[in-house]
Amino acid sequence: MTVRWDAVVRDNGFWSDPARPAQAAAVCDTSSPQRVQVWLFGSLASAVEERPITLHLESPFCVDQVIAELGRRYGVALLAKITTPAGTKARNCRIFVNGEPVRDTAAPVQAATTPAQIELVLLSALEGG
Amino acid sequence: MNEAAAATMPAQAPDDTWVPSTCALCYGNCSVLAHRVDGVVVKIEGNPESAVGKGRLCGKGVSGVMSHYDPNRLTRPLRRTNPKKGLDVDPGWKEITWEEALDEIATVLKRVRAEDPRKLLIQRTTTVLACFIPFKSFAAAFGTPNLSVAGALHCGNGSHLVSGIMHSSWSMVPDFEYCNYAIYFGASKGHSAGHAATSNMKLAADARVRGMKMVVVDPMANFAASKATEWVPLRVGTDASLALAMCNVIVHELGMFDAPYLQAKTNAPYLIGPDKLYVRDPATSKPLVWDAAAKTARLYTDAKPADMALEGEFEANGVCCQPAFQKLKDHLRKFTPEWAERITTVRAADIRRLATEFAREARIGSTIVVDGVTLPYRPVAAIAFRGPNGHMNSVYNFYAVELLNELVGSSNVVGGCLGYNAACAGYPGTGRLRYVPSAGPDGLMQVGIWMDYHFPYPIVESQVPRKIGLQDLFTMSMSSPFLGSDDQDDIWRKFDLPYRIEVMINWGTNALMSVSNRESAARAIEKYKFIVSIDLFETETTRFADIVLPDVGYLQQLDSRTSFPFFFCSMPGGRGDWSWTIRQPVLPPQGEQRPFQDVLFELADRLGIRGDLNATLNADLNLAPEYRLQGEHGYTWPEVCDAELKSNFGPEHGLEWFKEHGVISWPKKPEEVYWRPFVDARVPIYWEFLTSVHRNVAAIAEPRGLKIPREYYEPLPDFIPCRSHNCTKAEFDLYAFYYRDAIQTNSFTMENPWLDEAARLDPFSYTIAINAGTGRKKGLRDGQRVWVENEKGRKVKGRVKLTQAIHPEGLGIAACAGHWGDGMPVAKGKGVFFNELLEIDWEHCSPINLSLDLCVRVKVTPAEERT
Repeated sequence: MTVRWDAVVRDNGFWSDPARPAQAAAVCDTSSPQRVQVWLFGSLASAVEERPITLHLESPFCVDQVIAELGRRYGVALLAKITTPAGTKARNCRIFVNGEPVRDTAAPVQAATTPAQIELVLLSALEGG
Repeated sequence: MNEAAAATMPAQAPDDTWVPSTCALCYGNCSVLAHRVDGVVVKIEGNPESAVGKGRLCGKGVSGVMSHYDPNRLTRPLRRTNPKKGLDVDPGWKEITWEEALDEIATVLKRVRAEDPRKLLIQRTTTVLACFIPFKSFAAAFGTPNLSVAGALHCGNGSHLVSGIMHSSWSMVPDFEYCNYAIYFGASKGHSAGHAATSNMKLAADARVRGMKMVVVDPMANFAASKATEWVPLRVGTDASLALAMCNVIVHELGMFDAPYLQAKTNAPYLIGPDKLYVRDPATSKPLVWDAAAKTARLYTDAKPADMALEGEFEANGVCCQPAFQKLKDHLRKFTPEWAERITTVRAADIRRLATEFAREARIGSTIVVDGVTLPYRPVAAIAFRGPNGHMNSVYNFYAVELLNELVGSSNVVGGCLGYNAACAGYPGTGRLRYVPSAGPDGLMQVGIWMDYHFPYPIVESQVPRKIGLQDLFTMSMSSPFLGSDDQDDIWRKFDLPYRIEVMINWGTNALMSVSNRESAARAIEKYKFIVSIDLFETETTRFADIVLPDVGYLQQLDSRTSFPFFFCSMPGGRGDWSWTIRQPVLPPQGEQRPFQDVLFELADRLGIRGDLNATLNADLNLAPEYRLQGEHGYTWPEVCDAELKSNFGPEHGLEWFKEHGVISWPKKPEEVYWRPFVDARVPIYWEFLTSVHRNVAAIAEPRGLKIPREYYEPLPDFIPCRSHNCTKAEFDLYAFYYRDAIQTNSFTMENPWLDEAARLDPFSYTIAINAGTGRKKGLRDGQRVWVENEKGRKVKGRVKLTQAIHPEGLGIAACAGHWGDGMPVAKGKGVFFNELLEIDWEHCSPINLSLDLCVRVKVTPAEERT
């Protein structure tokens, strides 16, 4: 008799509980604009004169808004490095907020320190062997 | 005095120490213990405390001491004085100081970075993985996307891609502990070098003793086939045909497939429309399945798997459609054993027998309890590796072989085909290192971790290429032929590539030997205005350098991660322990040798990019916030290693702890090893996404004059002949191929005198293997010198070894031999340089994943004997 996989092995929750929370909850609930410092590294840095870049964003804000603001200020050439043709964040662009990796760019940014420190790093995308 | 020198100075006390570290004679990275007596390493053994090797070490590993003490090692920085470059041109080396060397390099790099950082190419070897993170981080900090692993083009464009999509791993292996029937297609896992080499040797040996039947499909009966229950010789490059015919038998003649698995864990129930695409829900765009209970089309996320139709014809969204499995079933019908016999030369009766044995031993529907956990039990595995990869049709070769596992549900379950360590719950003390596959777009599995950010699925959208390798256009490729192809300028012009490579930093690769014929490689490398080579020896490639920097070897090197990522090359699959290992200096540098990491850090300081390098290292090493490198601080490499180790294992497990212990281990859990049932993600038995990939690639390439053949992008696999299969010249009657010699690694180990001695004793390592019957018909005799020539007139010379252990149409050459340079005198003139027979251009690479065609039709003619 064929035994069903989905009957033999019920999800026992083994993989559903990350050992470390991906990100703490958003803490910034003020309605005033928030000062954000953005650090661009590697090939992203060559597009701008200053480091860090200071932005003022309405709170709460998300990383997608930071990316959009960078595109508005520095043009599509920079934006094309950070995002895919479909407009989503490129996988080889790593973003950190206060040292924590960002997994969901649409999630509200937490700001444990003021101003929030946001790093964008473009890493190598393709290599193999 | 540097740290290693201080640690190894004899001082007053006698020095008699076993130092735990990691081998680097191949990319298996086995854990070793190096016995140092009075500052001299006298022996190297496997480290039984580590899961990586489990105390075993191969012949290469024990001979590593001879590579270290080779008097031909580079020990001083060198400057070229002869501006002319070319094959057999004397560089006119002059010794210079490190200060002079670094000054000149930094000046050139500053100029290039200011002009366009993409003009820098960094090329590294695949043999020593220590370089992976430092060079990757340096490249990102510098701003170049152009990284290359020279010989990798021969390795993984097919195998890693398909293993990633179907197993969330770099490669695959039988679950030796439980597998009863393994069929190898051009693979040698457990019987040669490379992935988890020595660990797998014991696992495979134990499995054979236990009674695992091992069938090896290969043109040559060498390392795996000689240990196998059965060798199935086939015509070179026809693996897909055999696998597809076996699938045909399983589905159409036996009707033995794991329907519940296909329903719950694959896209087999997804409805396919007349356009070959999923039929999608208009509101959510999710693929639809046919719910047989509700008699209607529903989202794949809404229907119960048991109710999803696998066969039949339905109407949804107003179009006639069929489940993907029905499409596959219909597609397989044409691949009869009789059809496959004509292509592979394997008898139809044998194909039927193999398919029947495989399907019956799969024990579809059975379960087993492992460590108290009830799991699906499918004790069969079909694996493939280097053999099927070396062809233009490598994607379909691997896809077809993998369908065998998918049909019987033996993917990542007990006894089945395991991706190497695709899921890890993390180090218990910190929770770090956790990764697990997950459902991506359309519910299909995406990897939990990968070597880079170019995941195998979802396929990255193609762009007008801006990388010299064109991997941003051909996004299913990893390594590229266009760094050394004869038509590279034409290709780059077609796409208006706005720059050309001017500077190359080479670390340990010998691209002149490891990719294709040497004339093509030399033409490509001569174009670079400035080459820095960081190397152990003056290789054929290093002779093209402007500046040579003497590197330290693996017994002098520090590296904080030699077994991670776990899904990669070192850690064995199956049950056992996780082991994180390091490499540490056992001996000091000789002369003026410097670790390459120190060189990169020094260059970063001189270029003013230390802050960028710290940031990219933070990202590449995934350091926890409290251990991140700060600002532009000038960290040393040991400090970076210490940060990584503490980040992953807590403050008590820093570099000093690891130097003493060498390894930290913890047990694997059944849910990690056999993760597949627990992860709600599907794998594609119908690659619907190839349709849109082809559309995107063709839309960019074809208006620029590069035709993209549709047949490589069909959603279901087929047999596509290589160029060698279409050769009609009667005198070119043999298929030449090379194979990885178990006692050699790439071109590097040829210089090792112990391995050279072993190779000279081996009847095959330095000879040309030809089938005995074929050879006799040609009038050839054992030991006779012959020319082997391709259709374009490229030829190599060597001595014949007649053997029954090769297909009658095959011609086998071992490893990457035939050095001609003076810098590696032990290796010079030994063996046969197979790659000289390889053409490298668009016509000889796959138009989907850029795999280079490594099988060549050749003719054999007697050569004059030397007097």
